[in-house]
Amino acid sequence: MDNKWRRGDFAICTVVLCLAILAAVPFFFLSADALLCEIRQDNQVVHTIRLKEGYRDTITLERDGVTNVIEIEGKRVRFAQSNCPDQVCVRTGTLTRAGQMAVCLPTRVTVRILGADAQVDAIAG
Amino acid sequence: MKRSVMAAVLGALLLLSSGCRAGLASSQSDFYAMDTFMTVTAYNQDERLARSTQAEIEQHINALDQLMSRQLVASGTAKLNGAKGAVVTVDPKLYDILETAVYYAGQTDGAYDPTTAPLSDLWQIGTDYAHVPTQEEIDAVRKQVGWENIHLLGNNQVQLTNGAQVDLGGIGKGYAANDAAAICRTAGDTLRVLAQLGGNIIGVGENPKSDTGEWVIGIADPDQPSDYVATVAITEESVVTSGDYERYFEQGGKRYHHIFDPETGYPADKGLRAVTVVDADSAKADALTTALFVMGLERGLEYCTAHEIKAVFITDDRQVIPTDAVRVQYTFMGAQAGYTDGQ
Amino acid sequence: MKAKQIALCGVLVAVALVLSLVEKMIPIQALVPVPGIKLGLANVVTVFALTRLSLRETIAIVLVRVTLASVFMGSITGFLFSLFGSLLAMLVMKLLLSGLGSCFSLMGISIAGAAAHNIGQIGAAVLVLETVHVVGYLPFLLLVSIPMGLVTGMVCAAVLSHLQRISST
Repeated sequence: MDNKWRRGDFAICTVVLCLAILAAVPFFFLSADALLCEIRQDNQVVHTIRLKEGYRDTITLERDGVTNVIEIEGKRVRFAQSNCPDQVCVRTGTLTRAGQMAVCLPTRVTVRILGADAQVDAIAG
Repeated sequence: MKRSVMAAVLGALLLLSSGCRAGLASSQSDFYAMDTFMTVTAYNQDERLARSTQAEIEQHINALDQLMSRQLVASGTAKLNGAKGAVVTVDPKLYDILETAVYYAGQTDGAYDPTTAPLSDLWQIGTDYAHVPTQEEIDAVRKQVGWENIHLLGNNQVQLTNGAQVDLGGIGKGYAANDAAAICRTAGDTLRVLAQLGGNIIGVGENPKSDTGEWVIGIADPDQPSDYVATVAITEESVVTSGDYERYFEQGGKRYHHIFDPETGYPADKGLRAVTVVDADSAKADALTTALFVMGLERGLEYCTAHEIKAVFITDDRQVIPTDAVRVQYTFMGAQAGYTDGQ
Repeated sequence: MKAKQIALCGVLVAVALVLSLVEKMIPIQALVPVPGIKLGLANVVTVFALTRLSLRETIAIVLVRVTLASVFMGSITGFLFSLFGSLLAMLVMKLLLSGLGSCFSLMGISIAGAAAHNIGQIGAAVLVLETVHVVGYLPFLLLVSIPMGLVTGMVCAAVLSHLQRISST
């Protein structure tokens, strides 16, 4: 059978390469300074939020009568309120950089900032 | 023609694949044990191995918690504390933990003490009932405190005298971190794991996300624990931090935290906010953070020099002071937050 | 005639299964750590079937191959990835085969098939794993599909020309 390389084959290769580039494009935009806020409760991801300027949101999570209010303001996330006895989550302060996290033990809620340019793998404290 | 196209494509592929070191599957799992938050991040080509190792660690730590918890009535520790001075045969694992605890209590001259439980019960810090007790109450309870009252009689037999009550909170997470690292190493040498058990962090294998293979661990800012004032780079080591900001309450404008000075019966008050210890042995690091915090800066630094301990002290007057042994791994980053570099 | 075709289908399924096994030995997981993702070597059978048999028979071969392959060595997620990938590859190649000889060679068609296979797999992964994260591997997989398609296309052409020689004698 004749199996010579034809003009259409170039078209196919071009289309495939274009698709590859196209699929890669969003990841270039996403790159360095893109921040993602991941909120888990009991190890289940309950919210994943892309942080960007001008965005505002308030998330309320509850467990056994303890309520957390998590506030997102642009690229800043914090436990704004909690009626847990230890208050560790509120005292942890505002998260602004990739690699940071805050935890509320009584509600089993973790708030993490994820991003490619995290400078630390974890924070001991 | 065809060949050159193919060669170009293959070349591009090779380049791509060499840049794909971060392409290891990672899975992160949060769980709660030993009264604290824990998370295990595992990286491996085979995601199943990563997940099964995580599950094994979680299971093992829960089992340790069943032995060590003071709150669980059925735990070995609770039975020992409730024995009213009688000799008790404990689980070999618990015996080993007690031995470790007593060893570091002796090493630190009682600055780390696994028998401060009655003080914690009296002050109730971290609960809604936290309060400053009267001096009489403290004096009464202080008689029960003293690691010499733990008698390890061999054959897994333990006796507590003078009303001593054991609390393994100051070493349990470190012991658990060592076990977690051992589980990872048995699971396979391709597995890379970063485990965070409360304030104890341990890195096993090389960090796939860094060129040097090191894990970079931040040391929390006591005023804003989401941020860090310094970093240490580690491989096959553990980083443990204890500070006055974890569990505390305020009364009359004074802060009362959860690290007790066995000498006074009060929260240790020697001018420190936090102490971090870096060591391959996480149980040792765990006991030493408490001990150094209780010793204070001056005695603590002396101890570190004498024993070549890698430690970082954060003082009341916002100095961050690393010991000589830790300096090569250490980077100060607290200038913006108003800390001074005490190197 | 009928019996001969059934026999051919069986042989093709067997060949495809062997290719799936071979594929299993290639450590693609190191580069694309999504469990169940495959290179798509078995596409060579689909190309061949499309040129020698009807569409219905080809679909049957693909379904049986995918099912058996995941029963033998895969997981249920792997099954869905292969199913999506293989069917999409087959559809694309069926469409392009009308231009075989005039516009496209078997190699070009195989490349398109390999690319479609990968797009299908990743599409299924997005649905099953409920994350768009896996799309990040698509550029890489699409690049791989060019040499993969070249190889499968050449193999297929070689086999077909041999068969033609056999049947003409």
